[in-house]
Amino acid sequence: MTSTSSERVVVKELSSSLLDMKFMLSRKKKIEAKKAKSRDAQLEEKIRESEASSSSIAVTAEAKLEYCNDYSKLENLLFGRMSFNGFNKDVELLMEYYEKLRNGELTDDEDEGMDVNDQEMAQTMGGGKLAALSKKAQTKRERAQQQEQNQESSGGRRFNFKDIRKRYSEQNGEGEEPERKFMRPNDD
Amino acid sequence: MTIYLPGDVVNEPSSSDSSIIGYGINVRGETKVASQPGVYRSDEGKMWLNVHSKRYIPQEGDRVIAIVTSKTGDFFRLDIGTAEYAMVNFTNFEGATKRNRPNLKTGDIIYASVFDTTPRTEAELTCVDDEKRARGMGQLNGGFMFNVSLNHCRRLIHPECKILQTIGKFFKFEITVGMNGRIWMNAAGVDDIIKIHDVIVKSEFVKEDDELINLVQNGYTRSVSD
Repeated sequence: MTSTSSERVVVKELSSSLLDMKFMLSRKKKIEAKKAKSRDAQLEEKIRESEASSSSIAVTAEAKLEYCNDYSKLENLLFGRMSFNGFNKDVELLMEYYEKLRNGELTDDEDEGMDVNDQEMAQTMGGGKLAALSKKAQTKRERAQQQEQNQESSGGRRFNFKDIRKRYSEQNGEGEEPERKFMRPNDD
Repeated sequence: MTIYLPGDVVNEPSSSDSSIIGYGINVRGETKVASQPGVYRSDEGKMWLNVHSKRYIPQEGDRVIAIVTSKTGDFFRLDIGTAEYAMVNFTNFEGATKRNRPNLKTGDIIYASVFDTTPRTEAELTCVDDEKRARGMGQLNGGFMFNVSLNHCRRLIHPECKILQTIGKFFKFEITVGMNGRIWMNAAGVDDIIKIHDVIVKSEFVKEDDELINLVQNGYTRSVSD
């Protein structure tokens, strides 16, 4: 018992509120598995001690027997979802993941799914500021060139109604736009 | 191949040292007695009986295909082929919160895993793993669902089984096998779905590889209309 209490002092424990956070789930799982294992081992030892003291019967082989009704563990079954010839790409990725899991090749550090993609991450981590800074450092010509490129990539110039109206009036032979008058609304 | 009937004493080979007793075997004192009729199997310190059955008994850790039958409060009531309905809490879906409930209707099919089978209560299911990720579980959209026997389901997803691999050489399709004897699948067209369904159902009684390849080939070339 003394050994366990001294261990408790040495082992650094993470607070429960921290472990409840979403990104700590995998770590929490690991810690819980470890705790359960040590608890089981202690319990087993206790039982063995009490059995040895209460009766002279030696611990038989039967004590080692384990029961398992889970067919997927007994037969080492595959994951139930499969896709062939690229019918469902997501499921084919999952098949790889579960195959790794089954062979015990999966490491805890590797995270196959990204919640936030790289571009979004860069944008939120101050990418916008950096872009503004680099724009400041550019010369006038460079800036103009970049704008031109942007316009090309976004599919030409913006729709400008003033331009269109101007062109239309030129086609009709009128030099200027007709003068507009304020029309007072009728009261009735 | 040894077959045991309920009550038979299981004589394991003297060379084996099985420490994990699996499905269908009970230990009475020093002897091991079969409690279900089945074929004796053993592997790496495990021994169990492979039992043919059509009725599913929920077992923790099994991944099953369930049909939503109703919605009661915080739970969806599910039909998983057992005598009692099973339940799934609406927060046990990926991305679900108290405000953001999963949009499931009566008759929808989901793929979920059993995580609580306390006696005298309904089995409880979950659609996320212990890292709160779906990883393939959740709703199955479209497709076609049918039943086969439980041991055929287990055979289909056995690592050494060639049935699905062989079908995959001919067809482009997706399949989900539940441990409760239900199979859901989806393919490019109705014709393909009918063909694959027939091959899977017939393959239950096929043993040899050549026979299997013939079966799939015939299924692939035949026309569905006749």
